[in-house]
Amino acid sequence: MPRKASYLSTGIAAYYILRNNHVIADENNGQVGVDKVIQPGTLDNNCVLDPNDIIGTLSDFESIAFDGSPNGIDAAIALTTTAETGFATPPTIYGAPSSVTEAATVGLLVKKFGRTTGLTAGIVDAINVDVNVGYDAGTARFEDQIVIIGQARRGRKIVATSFSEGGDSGSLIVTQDGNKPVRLFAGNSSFTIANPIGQVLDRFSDLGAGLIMVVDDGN
Amino acid sequence: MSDRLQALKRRVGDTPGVVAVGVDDSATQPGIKVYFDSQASLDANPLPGDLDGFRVTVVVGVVFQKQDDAPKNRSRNG
Repeated sequence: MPRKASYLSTGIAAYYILRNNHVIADENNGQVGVDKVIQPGTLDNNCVLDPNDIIGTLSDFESIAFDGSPNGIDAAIALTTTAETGFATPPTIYGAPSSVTEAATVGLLVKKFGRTTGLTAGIVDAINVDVNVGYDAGTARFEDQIVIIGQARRGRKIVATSFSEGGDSGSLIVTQDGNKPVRLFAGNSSFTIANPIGQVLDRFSDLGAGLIMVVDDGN
Repeated sequence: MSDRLQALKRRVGDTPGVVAVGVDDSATQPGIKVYFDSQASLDANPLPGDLDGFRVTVVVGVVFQKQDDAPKNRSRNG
């Protein structure tokens, strides 16, 4: 089911979608001010590009280094409007994320709502993780990341599940208690890698202080 | 994170087959979590359960990839 993009609000005059570089900036090849962000993606729309699906224009991105030097985040933003994006997941999911972020700790219970796997629950498995991530352009090294494993309650048991799959990149990860943001960008069927949300907010802090949210509203 | 722990992470991270090294501070004795790409890599480069006074937990069969699988949320001609 196609869903609206995640987004970021500065709480000031302009509104920005917050996604991954590899999603809307084509692994450093995006053209700021030119490239359009569309939702749903063409893969979810019979490979048809509908102009009505344009929800923003690429505004800025953090370049990803593929030369072995360390990266901190995989992030990009696109200028949008409140007419094109929403501020919350559906009420039946978890509603709006908190404007207060939380630093991840091992054992922290989290959840996310994404394009492919919908609402899933997980737990932080490790922090301060240095990790190699595969991209089309090569392998990139990231430092100080967060590893999350999926887990779900089945009756009285807690079982391991997938937390995210391909297509979930850019989903906001929030704490199960309080919906406080963390962040998602890579992984596999068993483990998910998240950027610390603080690094993401610092990178785009020149947009102005204010409420920042990254959600998928399910439409 | 202590300098010793950071140095250990770097050292273990250079081990062939290791795709990620992180910190697990959930127990009294802090430790590292080491993610290998395969059991074969671990067998070829075994790690003890303790290194420099830090617990070592190993996970095998892990390869990290970006997670877009081409939904194509971007267009230059839109």
